[in-house]
Order: sequence, then C-alpha cells, then structure tokens
Amino acid sequence: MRPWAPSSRSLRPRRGEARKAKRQRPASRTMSTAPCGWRKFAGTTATSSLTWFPLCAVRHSRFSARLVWPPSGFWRFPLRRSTAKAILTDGHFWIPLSVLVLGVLLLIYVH
Amino acid sequence: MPTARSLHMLGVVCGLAAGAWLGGAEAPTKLVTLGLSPFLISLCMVSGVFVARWTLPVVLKGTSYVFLDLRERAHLMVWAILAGALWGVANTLTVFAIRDVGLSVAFPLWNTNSLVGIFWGWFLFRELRGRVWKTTAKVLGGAGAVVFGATLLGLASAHRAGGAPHRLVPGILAALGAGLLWGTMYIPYRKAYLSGMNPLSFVTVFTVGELATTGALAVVFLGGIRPVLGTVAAARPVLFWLFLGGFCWVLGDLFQQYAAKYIGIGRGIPLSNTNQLWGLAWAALVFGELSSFGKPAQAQIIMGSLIIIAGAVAISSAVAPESEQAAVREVMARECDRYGLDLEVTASAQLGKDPLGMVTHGRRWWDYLIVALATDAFVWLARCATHPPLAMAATWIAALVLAMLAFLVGCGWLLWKYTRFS
Repeated sequence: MRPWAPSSRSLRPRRGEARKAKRQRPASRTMSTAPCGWRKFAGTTATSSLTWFPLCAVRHSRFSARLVWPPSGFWRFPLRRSTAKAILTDGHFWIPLSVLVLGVLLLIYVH
Repeated sequence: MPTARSLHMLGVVCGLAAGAWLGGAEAPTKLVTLGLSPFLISLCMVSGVFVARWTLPVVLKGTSYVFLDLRERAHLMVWAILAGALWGVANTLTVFAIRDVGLSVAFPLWNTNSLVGIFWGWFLFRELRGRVWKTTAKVLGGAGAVVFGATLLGLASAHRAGGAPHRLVPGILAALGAGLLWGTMYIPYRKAYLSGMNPLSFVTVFTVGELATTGALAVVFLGGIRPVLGTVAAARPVLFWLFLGGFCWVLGDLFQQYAAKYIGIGRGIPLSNTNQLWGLAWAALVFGELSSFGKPAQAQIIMGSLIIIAGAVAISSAVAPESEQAAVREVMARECDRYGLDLEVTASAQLGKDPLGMVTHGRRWWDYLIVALATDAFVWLARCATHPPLAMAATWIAALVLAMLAFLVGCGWLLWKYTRFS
C-alpha cells in the first residue's frame, strides 16, 4: 500500500508526535497532497483521526464520530495533468469517443 | 502457477459461462409483452446491474482492493465511463431497431459486434498476429459461424417482419450502429486488462457511465424525470424480476470480462455470443414460444444451434501461439510506457497473479454495509413483487437455473483456483 493510501491506523499519530509536529509546522500544512490529487489527513491531535470513504470522510475520536462532507480534495479532478495528457494524446482514445458521438447522432436520426 | 494453456481454457470456460448467464438475463425482457416501455425495462435492469456491480466486487475483493486498483490506474476510470456510455447508447439503439425492423432482422445485424471486436483486437492490440494462419482461420471461421447460426435462429423465430416500410433504413442503421458501438466497447475492456486492472474494479466504474447514460436517455425519450418516476412506480410489482435479470446479466458480463482478459476480445466475445442459444432455450422450453412453429422452422433452429456450437468449438481450440503472445506483450509494454505503469506487475496480473491482493487485507465495515443494503433492496423488491402473468414451465426453469448455477460454481471455482479472481 502506498504511504498516502487511506488507513485509519496509519493516519493516527502516536502519542506526543502530533503535538510535536503541530509546533513545528503551520496548521495549513497538515494536509499534504497525494500523487493522484487526493489529499491525506496528517492528524492534528492524538485522539482525533480521519477515515476515508469513497465519497465522504468520518472524523472520529475515542468518544465521538462526525461525518465530514465533502472531504478535502473532493472537488479536485482525480487525474493528474500528465495522466490526462497521456489519455488525450492516446490515438486509441479517440476511436471509441468518435464512435460514441456517431452513435448519439444516429440515435437522434432514428428517433 | 497457471500455464498459458490453462489460462486459455479458463478464458474459454468464462466465455461459455458468460453466454449462459447473459442468455438467462434475457428472460425478464419477456415482460415487454406485458406492455412495459422498453426504456423502463432497460433502466430498471441497469439499476439492478448497478447494485450488483457494486456488491459483487465488494463481496469478492472488498472496497479497499477496488479503490487501490482504481487509484493505481486512474486513467482507466475515463475509459470505463466511456465504455459504459457506449453500452447505454447501443442498448437504446437496439430498442429502435427492434421497433423498426423486428428482432429477426435486427439481431443478426447487431450480432456482428463480435466481428468488430475481432477487428479492433487485431488492429489495436495485435491479437491474431504472427504466422498463425491456422489459429486465425479457427477464430474467424468460428466467429463467422456464431454470427451465421444466430442469423438462422433469428430468422426462424421471426413472428413478424417489423414496422412500416419507410422505417426500414433507420432500423437497419440502428442495428448496425448498435453492433459497431458494442464491438468498439471492447477497446476499453482490452485496454484495462492489458494494463493489469482487475475486471471487478473496471466494472464498478463502467456501471457509472452505463447508468448515467441509460438514465439520461430514459429521461429524454420518456419526456422528463416525472414521467420516468411515474412509470417506475407503476411497474413496482415487476421491478424485482427486472432487478434479478440485471443481477444475472452482471454475472454473465463479469465472466465475459474475464474471458476478454485471458483469451482476448477476438476469442472471448464470439464465445459469449453463444448467449443466443441460451435465450432460445428459455424461449422454447420455459415460455413454449416454439410450439407453434412448423417443421421447416424447427429444422432451421436445430441447424442454427449446431452451427453456433461448431463455431464455439473452433474458437475454443484456437490457443494463442508463442508469436501471438509475444505480440501481446509488446502491446502491454506500450501501455505501461504511456501511462507510467510497472511492466512486471502488469505482466504478472495478465498471467493470473494478484499483486494487489498481497498489499490489501480484509474488509472494512462499510463493505458489509454495502452488501446488507443491496440485499435489503432485493428483499424489499421481492416483497412487492407479484408473479408475472406469463405461462412458464417450472420444471424447465429449474433445469436451466441448475445449469447456470453449475457454470457459476464451476467457473467461479476455476477463477479462484487459478487467479484468485484477479
């Protein structure tokens, strides 16, 4: 599993580490950008953690749980620019896309 | 470790299992004779498909596995949505084709999708390349036989010639267009599996494009969201059967995806097109549709079925030789180079190994929640369901369901044994 992959266990900081990390860096830097564009929660307190779902996140501690929606990075395009460029410059991509457009035009004609 | 020959046989069995389950899924379309809108039937079946496509991967692999696979190959999400959209448009075109020229003419025309798939497999993915004339002849001859046999079945089971004469050209174009779209839909399939993606991950995104396109088309053609919701509410007593048909369709489609992965689209798609035989078995044995047929029509049906079986046998025996396998490895290297994938991991996935399975463990609690919600949806629909007013032979239903279950268990066991559903 990649280091940025969501896992409540790996995201939960050890006792004392979070406080130390918080002193050393500004609060805005607790969110780090993952390679694919999604963001990882780095943790701010020793008892609070964030668990990812496909479409939402739950911030939970030992005593409470709270739904966080939308999770940070939700509105970001999940593809890196280089990946999008690779798709668009892939000659194969334009074949099914052209056929799809043709199919929609045909549908309009036969309707 | 599975050998090339055992993976070929696995792909062949998957293709045949796909035919059985896709054919069984056609039975609920019989409800169209009760006066339900074809768009409604299509939308409800796709809704069942959507539920099943999210449930089965969760049961077999878990969301952690699926989402990690998708993240590793994020570019394939675009391809999967595109494939889903192609399916949705093609399916709607078939509705118009049946309306305009009748099933007997339309079916053979869109059944040419396997020939389109063979062309794309040869042209883009170097299938059937190298000095493999004997293998190529078996695949092309087999696919041609499947199309020809299906044509005979379609013509024999024709009850009516179709609609008005002035609708002939649009109807034929719609059927040919559906074949082209379905045949082209296999490009994303093959692309995904040459990139090492698990079919279970691919279908979870594919179905988003499928449901969105079918839903949008239903809204456009039925005149808005309110009429769609109204017709869905009116059809509540038969929704369960449509969802069940969608569920069977997903099982068939999953086997088809595994066939495309392990023997390519050139061989996998014609084999899964044997669904016509199973559709015929349901029509003849369960619904008694052929009882009124004369001797010539019955002889034609037997002849068509034998030709389809001969075609399937020819394709099954066409194992890819070393030169073709080397050509496919070149294509795999090309994909890895373009999208920055690990060639070793991708090649091992193509050989039936499961590299992702080693880094993801167990299920999350929401996996169980998803399965529970899907089960609840089916139970709720079953409670609202009524027995459709159609004459059916219960003994034959039991026999065909048993045959389908035998394929499910046998093929599922082989997939688990050789690939761990990779």
